[in-house]
Amino acid sequence: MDLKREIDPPYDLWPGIRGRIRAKRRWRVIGPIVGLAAAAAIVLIVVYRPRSVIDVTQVAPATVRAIVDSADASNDARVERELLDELELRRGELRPETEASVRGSLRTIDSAITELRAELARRPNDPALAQLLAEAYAHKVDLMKLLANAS
Amino acid sequence: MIALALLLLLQPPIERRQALTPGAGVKIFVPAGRVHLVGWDKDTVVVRGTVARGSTFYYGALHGGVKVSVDPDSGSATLDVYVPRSSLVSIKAVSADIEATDVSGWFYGVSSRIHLGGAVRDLEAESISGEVNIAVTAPWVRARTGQGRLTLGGQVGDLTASTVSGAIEVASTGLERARVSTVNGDVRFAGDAGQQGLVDIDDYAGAVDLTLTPTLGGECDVTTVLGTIVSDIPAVRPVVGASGRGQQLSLVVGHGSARINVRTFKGNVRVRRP
Repeated sequence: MDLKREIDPPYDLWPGIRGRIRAKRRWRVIGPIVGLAAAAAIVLIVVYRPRSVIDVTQVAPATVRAIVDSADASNDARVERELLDELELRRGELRPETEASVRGSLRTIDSAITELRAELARRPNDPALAQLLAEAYAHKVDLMKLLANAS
Repeated sequence: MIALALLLLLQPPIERRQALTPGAGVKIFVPAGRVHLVGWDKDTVVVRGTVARGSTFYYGALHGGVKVSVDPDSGSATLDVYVPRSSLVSIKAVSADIEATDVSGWFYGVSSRIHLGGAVRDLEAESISGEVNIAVTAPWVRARTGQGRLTLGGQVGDLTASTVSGAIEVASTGLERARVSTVNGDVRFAGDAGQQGLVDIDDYAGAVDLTLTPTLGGECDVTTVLGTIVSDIPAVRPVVGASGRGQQLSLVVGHGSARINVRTFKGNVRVRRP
């Protein structure tokens, strides 16, 4: 019996093999991208994750009141009076531009205090407003210190 | 021609020197002109420079301290002052520009531009309308202006920066405690509070630009009473304030106990990733 020296495979295996090779190649290209994207998402969630926003009403009104009272005490009408007296006393010593600069700064602070006080009347328990008011008063005290040195 | 004009304007050069005990005070008053201070390893203070015609140079020195002044109040001088690093300098000027390297102490000007650098112990700088630029390595820094711009860099443990309407820029590292406060000035904060620092930024009406550094680990809270918040971080979006106005943003960054609080009244806030 003669046997054929060559024989064709029962069906073409190549398309299947090629398909599997291409699929692996695709994964080689896409895999790292998908991995990176997943890692970035995890990093984003881990590194920058939201925290429940503090409801301002959660801060005790007494605490807010204490901040405002403390600010009022530090301000006192005396601070402004002293600042204006200092300006009058030093009118001859200060350069006109310096005096104008200080008066301009004082107006800026007073305007901020007026606006903050008005808002605080509407929202008396807002700690951010109370803190900003305290800072505004502190700026006035700072300005007085700056002026006191400007002789 | 220029040399002749200078000869007419300036008096002969001055030079004074005095050995000081460690920690001695150096007090300087120069209304106008320029003062350049350098901290050095020697134990002697050296004052060199020129005083403008019509101005008088005063100098008093003991081992325990030195006093330099230029009169009258409109007097002008150009001085180079070398001081022992251990000295505590107290310098006051009207419009004279002040530049110092490796010098600790108090620096004050009315409209002076103040530029400080190097490594120091404590530093306090104030100018009503002049610019203040500080880039030092120091445990403690206080800087204050009225309308002048305030720029802070270097490595600082405890930092206070305050203006009325001057802009504030902070890029300092190593911050353990930082207080940044202004009424109308814009704030650009890219300082590094690491994983334990505590930062407070208060701005009534100026805009705040906050960059969260890669090494930051902790919490960040932003509140604006009437303004808006824009965040570059897609995972965390600002929400409308509890009163129905303004916005709030709260997020946790990495791991740590650092805390950054930003408060504005009507200034807008931008939060950026590095």
